Amino acid sequence: MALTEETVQDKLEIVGDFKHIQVRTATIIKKDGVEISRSFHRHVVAPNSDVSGESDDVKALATQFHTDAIKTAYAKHLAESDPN
Amino acid sequence: MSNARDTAKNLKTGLNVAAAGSIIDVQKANSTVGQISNIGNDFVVGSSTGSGAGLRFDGSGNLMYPSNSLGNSRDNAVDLGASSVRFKDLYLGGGAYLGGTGASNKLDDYEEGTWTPVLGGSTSTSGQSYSVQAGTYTKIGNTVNAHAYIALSSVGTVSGTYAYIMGFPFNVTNSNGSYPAFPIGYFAGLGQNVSSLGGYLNKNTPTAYVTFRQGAGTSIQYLSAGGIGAAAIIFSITYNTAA
Repeated sequence: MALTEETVQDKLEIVGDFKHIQVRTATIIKKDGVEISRSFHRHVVAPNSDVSGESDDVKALATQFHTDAIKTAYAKHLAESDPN
Repeated sequence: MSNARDTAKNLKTGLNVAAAGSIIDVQKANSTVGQISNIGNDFVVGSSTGSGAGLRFDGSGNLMYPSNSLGNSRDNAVDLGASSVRFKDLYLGGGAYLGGTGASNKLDDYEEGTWTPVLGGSTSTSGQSYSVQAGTYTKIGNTVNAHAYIALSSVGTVSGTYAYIMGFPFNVTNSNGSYPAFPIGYFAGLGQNVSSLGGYLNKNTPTAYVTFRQGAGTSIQYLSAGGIGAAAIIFSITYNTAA
């Protein structure tokens, strides 16, 4: 009997006006190659996020979707919603 | 009725009828209790007792739906399972319409998981360490219920006009009705004297402001990055997300 664990980003979603990247990371436990458990961890990558620690897939999406125009629009949104 | 053998010598029996209706009647004591039928190009099987309870299989339409044993529709009349005789699990790739058939009635997602809450500054956050940094969520449709327990052991380097709670598992919807607020039920170790602590998620972001009062009757203020200290906080929030 062999138990193995693998981690994959099994869902990458681009949502909203500012192209937030929603990342779902699945931890999959397998017994003799057959999946017996799958659990999820989530995080969101915003246009102003540091992507240096992200996966290559997320970096590629950030490059594609977090354009200068999107970053500028998001910064404007944050400034407009600043309580002060 | 015809019998034939295929190329593997398996015997196959065929029933060929020209018109819609019953192909086989199943009887008990000379009374029909069930039928195998056809209607249009659809196959039907079901009980003919009472008003009838059957399933009509429409291969062209990629659907099956409740009918009587002759394939006539029985809308909103036939249960799937019963209170003491239930099916076990239901696997759906799409969603379930509950209480209506409109888009607003469709439950299309359920998910449980974890997230990593971060208490940092609106300008920068680095070098933090936590003794506890745990978050869980349950997403039901477009509604997210998130819970978090954060305890900083070292605040690291944080800067900014505001303290931010970051790392939420889903983005908040973009609506003026989407500034979901939350009380912080437990807090300790802040770098600022407060009598109550709360916050709200900024619309169309995965980021929350932290707000506080310094005493009864005082106005709400925003916690700054410098006010984080070695904070420990526990909170829960419910909010809507677009995906």
